[in-house]
Amino acid sequence: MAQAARDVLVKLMLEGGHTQEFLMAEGSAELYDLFTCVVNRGSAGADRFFQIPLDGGRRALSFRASQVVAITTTPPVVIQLDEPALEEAVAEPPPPPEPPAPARIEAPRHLIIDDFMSPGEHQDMLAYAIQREERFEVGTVAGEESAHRQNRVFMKFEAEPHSILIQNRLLVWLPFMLRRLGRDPFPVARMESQLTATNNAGYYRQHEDVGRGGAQETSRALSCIYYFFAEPKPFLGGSLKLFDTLVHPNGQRGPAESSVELEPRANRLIVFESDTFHELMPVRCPGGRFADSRFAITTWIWRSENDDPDQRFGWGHFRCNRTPPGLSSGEDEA
Amino acid sequence: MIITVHCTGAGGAAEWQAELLEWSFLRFGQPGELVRLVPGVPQKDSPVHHLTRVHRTDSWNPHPWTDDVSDAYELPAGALQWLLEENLDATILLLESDMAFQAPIDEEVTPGTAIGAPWTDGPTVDGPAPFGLPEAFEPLVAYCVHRSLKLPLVRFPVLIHARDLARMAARWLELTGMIRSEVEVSKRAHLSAQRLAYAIAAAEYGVTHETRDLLGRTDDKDSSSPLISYRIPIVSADGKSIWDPAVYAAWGQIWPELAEPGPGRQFLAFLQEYVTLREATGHLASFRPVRSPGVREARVGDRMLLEVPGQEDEVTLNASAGEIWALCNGDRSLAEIVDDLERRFDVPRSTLGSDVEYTVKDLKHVGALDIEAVHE
Repeated sequence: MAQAARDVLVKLMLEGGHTQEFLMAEGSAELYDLFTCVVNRGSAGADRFFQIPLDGGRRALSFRASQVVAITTTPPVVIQLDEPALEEAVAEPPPPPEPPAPARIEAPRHLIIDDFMSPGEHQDMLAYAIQREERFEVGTVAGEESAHRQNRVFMKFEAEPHSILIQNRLLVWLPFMLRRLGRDPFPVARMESQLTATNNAGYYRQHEDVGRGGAQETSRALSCIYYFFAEPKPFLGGSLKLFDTLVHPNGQRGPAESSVELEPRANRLIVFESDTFHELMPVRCPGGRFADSRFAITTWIWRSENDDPDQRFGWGHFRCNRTPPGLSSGEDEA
Repeated sequence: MIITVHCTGAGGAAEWQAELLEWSFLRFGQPGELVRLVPGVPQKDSPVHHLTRVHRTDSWNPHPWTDDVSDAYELPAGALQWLLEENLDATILLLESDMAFQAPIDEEVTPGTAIGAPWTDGPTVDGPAPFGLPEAFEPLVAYCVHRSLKLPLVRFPVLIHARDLARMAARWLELTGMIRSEVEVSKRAHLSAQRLAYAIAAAEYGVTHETRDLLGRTDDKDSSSPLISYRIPIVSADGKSIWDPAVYAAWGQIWPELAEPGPGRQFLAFLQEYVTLREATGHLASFRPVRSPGVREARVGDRMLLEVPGQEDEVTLNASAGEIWALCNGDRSLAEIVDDLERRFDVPRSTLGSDVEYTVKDLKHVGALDIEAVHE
């Protein structure tokens, strides 16, 4: 019966006294390769480039095989190295190996649309959020520690007319957004929107938005963040950082160190692909008044893998008894 | 800078209408640039014009979310796509395809203000629905936040700043679909959904409109408007239709003298002038390239270098483009340039014709020359 590989704690000692600890599966090819580095150290033609993902892929350790001095493992691991290969390496240097393909860096594709809503709609959205402070609760992230995110989420925003207001507008923009992002049109499975308020010391650490539907037939394709807040801007910070993506030769993706930082502006929409690693930078709002929060509606547009005309999402949806009730309006209610 | 824009699909009546508009643009000295937005499949051949810049856009007919089949979506969708691709700071003159110039329009607008022709037979605005519209428009409650705004009741032609149009085009497109999908009104109201959607979007984005006498009709008693709409048939004194745009086959014979005196007859006379010119000399004879002031030239080997005022980079012409440039002295029509080249080079006339047209259009685009109408 097959036995699951256990993780071992690897301490890597590099030239110059640098050390780094990380977990690796016992018996993995990567661990074998690291031991081979130690054995082949000093032999000609044995150098190669390593990148070890750290912190769940949020960082990466990069080094050359020739820099590896020693390895300790906890618990001890017995590795059976390929002796003939070792003898050959010592006796007769093998031809230089193909240099490993370096990880490719992809810049995040994104789009900024200012004046996304009309000035009146922007003001209405702000009044709507401020008047419903009691509907906001502390945001959480499934599977992450609570410190991963500090902001408040409007509960059950999906059912609100303002959610449909913004989704309607995004549906109109979608073909244009995809063209600007250089992406082909895709069948839309659904849209989901979340309204958040971020106030003093609020943030949302690096993450990506990709999610999968239960049957793996749908996935989040685009993340669209609409910003609305009082003017002049009553807070500092709160920018959106979009990280470049490291794409490894084996297809594994992770965030690079490099990034682009985008300023939130009132009535601005920022669109990016949902598999882009991103981060909400800390907000400073000294007064801490709720009305001075950095409000944002994030809408995820879900792609359907299968184009089923009967399941098409769009305005046809709303005509089927889903026409939203009248929107609130300070002007009309006054 | 004024950019005149119209939006028509390729083929059919749209081709003679676009050519006639182009001719009127030149004939009456309309300043600025002429752009034709052409929705459709990008792989299809684009229409070719002497002067008009053609911009292909994605088609919104049928509407991607409602499957509604209508041309009403093409202009707002095309304008949005075009303005996303070209970040313009200019006055946009929006026209419909069945309009032609009778005089130049040189008035520019600033962001926040616009000018339009009055929508004299537009909807009433003292009703119970949003914006004072009739009751049938009640469904707009679900889609409009500020429902007491005063609508600018204007129709095309409209002069609007490019930045305003870029801001409101998506909403214009969205509302056009909503009105056509949700409002159960007459077919006529459906046809004017695009116009009403424009008015609502403009009001929501705070673009105020003045009305101005910009457009006459062929059935007016008299008209001094700079543009004329030739949508309806032109009739004789005894009420008999003598020219119908719906069935007109380009460039068939016309008898202006049969029409009642007035704007209809004037329009037919203008059309007849172009048909005659086209028949007599070929369409290339109608246009004359004129070098822009201050352009400096230098020959380097077989290439020609041009320094165009206001352009950072020099323009490099290859040998054949240099030959064409040399003939653009302000006296020769495009046809005469082709005649000259035909005498000197063993190249088919049709090839020379298209080479001259493309080169002259490129040179106009970089500001090295302008194109005038030959009408005297």
